[in-house]
Amino acid sequence: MSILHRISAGYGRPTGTGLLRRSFLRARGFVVALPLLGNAAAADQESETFIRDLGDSAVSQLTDPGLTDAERGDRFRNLLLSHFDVPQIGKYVLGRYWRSATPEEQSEYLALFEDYLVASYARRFAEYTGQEFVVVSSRSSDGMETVRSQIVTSNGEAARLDWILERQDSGLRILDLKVEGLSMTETHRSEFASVIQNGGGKVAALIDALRKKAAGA
Amino acid sequence: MIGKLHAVRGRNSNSWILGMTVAIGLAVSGCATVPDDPDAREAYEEANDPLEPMNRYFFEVNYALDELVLKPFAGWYYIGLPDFARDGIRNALDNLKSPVIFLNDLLQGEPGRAGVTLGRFVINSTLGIAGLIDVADEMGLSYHEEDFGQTLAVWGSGEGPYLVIPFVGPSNMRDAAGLAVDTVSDPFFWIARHYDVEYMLYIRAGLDVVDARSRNLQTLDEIRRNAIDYYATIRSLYRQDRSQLIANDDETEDDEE
Repeated sequence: MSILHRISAGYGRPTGTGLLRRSFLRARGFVVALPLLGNAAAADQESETFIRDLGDSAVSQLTDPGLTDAERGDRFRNLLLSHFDVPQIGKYVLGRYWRSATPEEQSEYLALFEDYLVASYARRFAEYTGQEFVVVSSRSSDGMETVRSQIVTSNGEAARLDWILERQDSGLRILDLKVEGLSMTETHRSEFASVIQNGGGKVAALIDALRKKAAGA
Repeated sequence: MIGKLHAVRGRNSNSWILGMTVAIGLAVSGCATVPDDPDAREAYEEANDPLEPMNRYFFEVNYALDELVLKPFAGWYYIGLPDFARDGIRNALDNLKSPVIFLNDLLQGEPGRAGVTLGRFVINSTLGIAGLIDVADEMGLSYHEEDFGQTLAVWGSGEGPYLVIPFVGPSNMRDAAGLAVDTVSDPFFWIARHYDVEYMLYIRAGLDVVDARSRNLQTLDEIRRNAIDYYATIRSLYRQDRSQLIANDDETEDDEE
């Protein structure tokens, strides 16, 4: 009914309602069954491996409670840049305002957008408490690949994460992440448009806001 | 975002009427000006929020109420009750929604899903001890959600302007109408009235809101902390969430693959 339910589903639908637990059990079935399917989908397996490796790297590199925020931020940035097409995401998120921005604004925006992502998301890994990351399945359409995964906590709560990837010359790159079907890029795009609208239609208003946010305000 | 605070509405109907009067006053004066610039105009239409000034006002009101009342309650509820108790309550609340879900399954022309809802209700109300245990899920009948707002969408209705409803949270014209229909199409609403135990409805609504909120304590804090424009973030999340619910593109999608 309410968005609360939906977001709650994202970060911990209870085991008791069973819904996600069941799909998690089935997910395990998928993981077990995959090798049996042979090479039917070699490309998909590559994207699944890509995401699985990202999850493993994130857990091994970012979750050490002894890390300082700066260290964690640097490591997060490396993983971000090696797995996500940050400039393309940034451009999409800015939407129609990309055109109206000056070249200086564009490059400043992209740099700040990257900082903002690091500042916003890196610290989440400091609160890691042993959640399990499971790649469930993948499919491709229109040159894009979607890898479905789940984060499962020790008490069985699960969140569904869908990764949207594009195969580029340099290899696979992530273009979007959907948490319980809610797209990070769509959400930021809509948010940024609102910030610009309320700032008199000027990209500079967003750049200011991003600078403050990235600085930890 | 705060959920359905029927309890507040019910016990304090004078302030509710006052609130509505203020709402109508603001609605008249609360319209955003339509921009002339084509880019701005496009952004304005994409946001689907002509009542933005009024909506932002009620968003702040709801946020304050949440901080003062709901969030502390939800925190105590979360800390005070063990997981299995909260899960039992959630299961029972979900079970009580079955008649409305069933009706909307049918109205959307989904007899299969209606059958699942009916089966769940029968099994969980009996074997599941008044719905406390989701036995049906173990039998492969997974919970899904439907409401009249979704039914209207399936019938081809647009969403109408975005709305933030005092005490209720994010909505739109279509879903607000749907919420009203859901309330009166719920047999438990009429049963409670018939037996003069309407307070049960308030307890149920209050529990529903507190339980839902208790499952989002960290998540919403996190979203707010990262947001540059929290209002716009929630607006976008609400809209995305509703469109995937309407498309039945939720967790149950696994079943169709």
